[in-house]
Amino acid sequence: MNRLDSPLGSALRRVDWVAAAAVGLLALTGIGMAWLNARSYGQELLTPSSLLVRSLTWTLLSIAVYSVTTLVNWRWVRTFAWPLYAANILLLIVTLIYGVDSGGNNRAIAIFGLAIQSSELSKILTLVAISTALTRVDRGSGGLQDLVLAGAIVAPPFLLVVAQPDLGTALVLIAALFGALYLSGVATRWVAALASAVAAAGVLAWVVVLADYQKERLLAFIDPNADPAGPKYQLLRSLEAIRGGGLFGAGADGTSILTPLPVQESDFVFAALVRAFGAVGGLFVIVLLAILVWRLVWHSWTSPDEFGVIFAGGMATVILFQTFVNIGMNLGVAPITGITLPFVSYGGASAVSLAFGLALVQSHRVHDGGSSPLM
Amino acid sequence: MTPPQIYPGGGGPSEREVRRRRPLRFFAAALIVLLTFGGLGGRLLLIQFGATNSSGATTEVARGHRIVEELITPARGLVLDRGGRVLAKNIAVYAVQIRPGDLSLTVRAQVVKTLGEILKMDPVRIITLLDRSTGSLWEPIRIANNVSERAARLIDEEHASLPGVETVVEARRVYPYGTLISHIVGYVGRIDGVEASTLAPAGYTVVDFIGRAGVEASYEEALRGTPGIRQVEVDAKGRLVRILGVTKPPVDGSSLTLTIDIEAQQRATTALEWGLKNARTQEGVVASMNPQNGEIIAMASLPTYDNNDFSAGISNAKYQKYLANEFSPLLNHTVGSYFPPGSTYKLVTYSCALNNNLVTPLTRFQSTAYLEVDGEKFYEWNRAGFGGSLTPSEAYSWSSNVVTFQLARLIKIDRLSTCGRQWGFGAPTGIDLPSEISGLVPDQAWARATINRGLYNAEVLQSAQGQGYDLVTPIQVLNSFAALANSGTLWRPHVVLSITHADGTVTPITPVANGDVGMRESTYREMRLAGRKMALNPGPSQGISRMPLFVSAKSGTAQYGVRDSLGRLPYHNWMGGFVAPTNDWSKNDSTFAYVVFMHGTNTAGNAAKEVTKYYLQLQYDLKRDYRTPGLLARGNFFGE
Repeated sequence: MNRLDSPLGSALRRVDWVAAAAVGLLALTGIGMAWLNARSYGQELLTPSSLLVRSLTWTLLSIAVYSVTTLVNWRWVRTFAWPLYAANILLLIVTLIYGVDSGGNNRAIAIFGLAIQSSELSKILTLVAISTALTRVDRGSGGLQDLVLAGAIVAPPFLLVVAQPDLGTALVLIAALFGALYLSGVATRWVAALASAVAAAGVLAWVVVLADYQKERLLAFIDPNADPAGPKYQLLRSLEAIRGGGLFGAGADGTSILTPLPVQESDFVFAALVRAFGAVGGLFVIVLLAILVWRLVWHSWTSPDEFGVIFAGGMATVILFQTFVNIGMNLGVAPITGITLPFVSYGGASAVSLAFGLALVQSHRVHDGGSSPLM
Repeated sequence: MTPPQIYPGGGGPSEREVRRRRPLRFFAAALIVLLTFGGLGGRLLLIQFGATNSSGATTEVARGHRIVEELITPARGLVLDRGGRVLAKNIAVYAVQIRPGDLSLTVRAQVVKTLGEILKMDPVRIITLLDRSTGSLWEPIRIANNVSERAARLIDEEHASLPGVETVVEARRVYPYGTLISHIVGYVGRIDGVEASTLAPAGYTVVDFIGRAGVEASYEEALRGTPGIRQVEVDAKGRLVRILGVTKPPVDGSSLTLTIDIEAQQRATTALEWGLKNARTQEGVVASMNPQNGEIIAMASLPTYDNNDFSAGISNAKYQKYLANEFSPLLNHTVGSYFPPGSTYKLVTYSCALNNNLVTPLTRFQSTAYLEVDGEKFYEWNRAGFGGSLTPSEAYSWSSNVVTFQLARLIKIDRLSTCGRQWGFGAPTGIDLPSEISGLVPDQAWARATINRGLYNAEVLQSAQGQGYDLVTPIQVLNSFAALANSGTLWRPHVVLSITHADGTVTPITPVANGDVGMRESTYREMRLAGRKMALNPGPSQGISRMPLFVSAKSGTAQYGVRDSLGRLPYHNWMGGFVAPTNDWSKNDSTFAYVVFMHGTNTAGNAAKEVTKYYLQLQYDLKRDYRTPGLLARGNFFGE
């Protein structure tokens, strides 16, 4: 029997290696940035608490999660979609009560010494739940009931995340909801209706819920020069760093004597990267992420079943949205929200969660639904 | 529509799913992906390489920022040698300066430390520079010149944590050949405060450079170009925030092509350096020009200076050293110094006598040991005479003083001074180099005005042999022999061959005749022959007679200064003449006239003749060595 005809060989043949390679290169870039940032912050590189070592730990964990999830049949996850969803809600509640500020806006709970940001995992698990729910519904219309169901699934984690307050992840959840609904074929008028509702809620939130500092951050990108000494300072520094990077950047050594950018390991990792490696480095990351998103859209388009369409589409939306908002805020075209750049930011749980989600799409491809009927 | 079957062996989506799929939505999704990533990439490039004011920032005029018009300095033109080799060019250099007023003392130590790391400078040195300054708090203090582009970039980017520190880009003039041709090329220097006000109407500011010497100065207008105007936004303290746009683009300066080939210049310099070294003196001139058009072929004046010292901003110590040198290295002695011409002035005396029909080429004069005038004996330079009688050209070839005195008595001072001026003495040649001086041709009017008496007969005799009050520049001597070679045309000598404008058009420098000697062709011919006789006279020619060249020459020894304990005067040596293409001295087709001046030589032989031989053998690539270094030993036996 040919080795490639074994179940493992067959599985490996079906893996989307282009997407896997893109993820791998992004993770490598992330490690490189962690090394650079550790130097930039003047950390001892090989101590357990250094950015580099912590980043390596998370990356190894992500690789493990990615590999195992790819090989395990995705149907197991679908089967346990609801228990996982419930566990996720529980984790968010625990985080809300016992969580500690992890430096950005995300709250985290410490497990085995690693700060777990439960909001990151909630993106994936909520998406699994939406995909499962919409697949199960017998929908002749793709109409209102899909929308109501999906909205009901997103609402609890959304509210819990907003309460942390992690505005960025909450926005990712909304984006994922839209992506999933749109690609699952819900009628345009209902998507539009939902968009109007979200917009109205946004206005309401602006007036009632958002703190002044959050408003300031959101508005900073509109005119960073307005008050260079104030909160817009971050964006100004980011734009300067990008401009200073030129075509090939200052190099790692050049960067090491520069003052670190604000949150340059996560929020402003892109500016730090361009400062060090120039436009070439920036475009490299943009192209990798574009390839990744494109592969996800392609999976969604060619999926033999509804779960794949919705879940891959949702994941594409998550990566696209995070990329746009993170790089966009570095470039001064999107508001400053605590959203990580997939795999490049030091994100801890963010990287592991995304690895899990992306591997689930791989698994869906490897264990394609075509040969067995839908459950 | 059937989606592509990418799952081998697997059944595709069910028919219901296919129906529910909406291809348009996927195309829309693909479009969104493309637009998002394309937009991000484009935005990244726009921030880095686009116009500054597209960075998402709006103008801040309301916050005390102002929009002002600023001059754009055009790129200064190059200076090239005849063969196109670059003699003066521009390089961009970065400099770092600090405005103390923007640097609070609380952060100063940190800023200086960071800056020191970037510039690889000792922080203590930066502190010293800052503390030593006594100027205004807002006047920038220069911390480092010649900063690498990388360091400048880092500092620019760091300005948030380096308050008060700024980088400036400057064009630095670089002279690849430095000392070899610095007297011709010259140098640029920064405009000082006093000049700035007078030059302001021409658009100069205190940060501008202006030509200070050589063609850098004399062709300043062409080299500089026309400044442009741009609009910039400055903050309340007047510092540049951003460039808004160019109102009028600058026109870059024109480039100059010299008549001098750097290799010819090297030959002149080599000969002169050799002569000065062996004669153990330091000052001298070797210059040559084309008698047909006034183009300078080479012009070496030693000692010299490195013009790169000045363009980089000369240190006071170095400048003082230049100034302290008694031989004035900063002065181009070819045009900027005058000396008694000695016997080279006999060209004037002899031609004057011939042209005024006071003598004929065949008139014979007794060559005696001395001539007694007003009871005083004026000796021949060898104190013996040359035996028997001499025609004017023979006397010229021996450089006889006694015969010259006899001619002077015939010519008298008025005619003598007129002839001197006819040959171009007493007035600038008009060469296209700065700081040219006139020299002096004494006459009775001058004497009455200056020394309140008429000239004595003895002084007239002295004047006839290039001593006394006669003062000439080497370029005047060169020009007189060039005029002899071309039958009377006094060109305005020029070192610039053509001007190449920024748009590529070339304006050649047309030779301009500054005047004409106005003598008869027969006089020129007789004097060319007399010079030829001198060059062939085995003794006085000091070996030039053996050279396979048609050289016409006149040497000179000019006493100056004060007598030593033995009653001897120090003297300079001169040599001037031209090289004819054929042995036909009725022709005026020479293309090479030369002058050699050796200051304060006091050598056994005529040092200028030795340098002339060496220069000619280099210039004409003669294989044999005609030099006799022994004649450059200290001698001082001439009592001329």
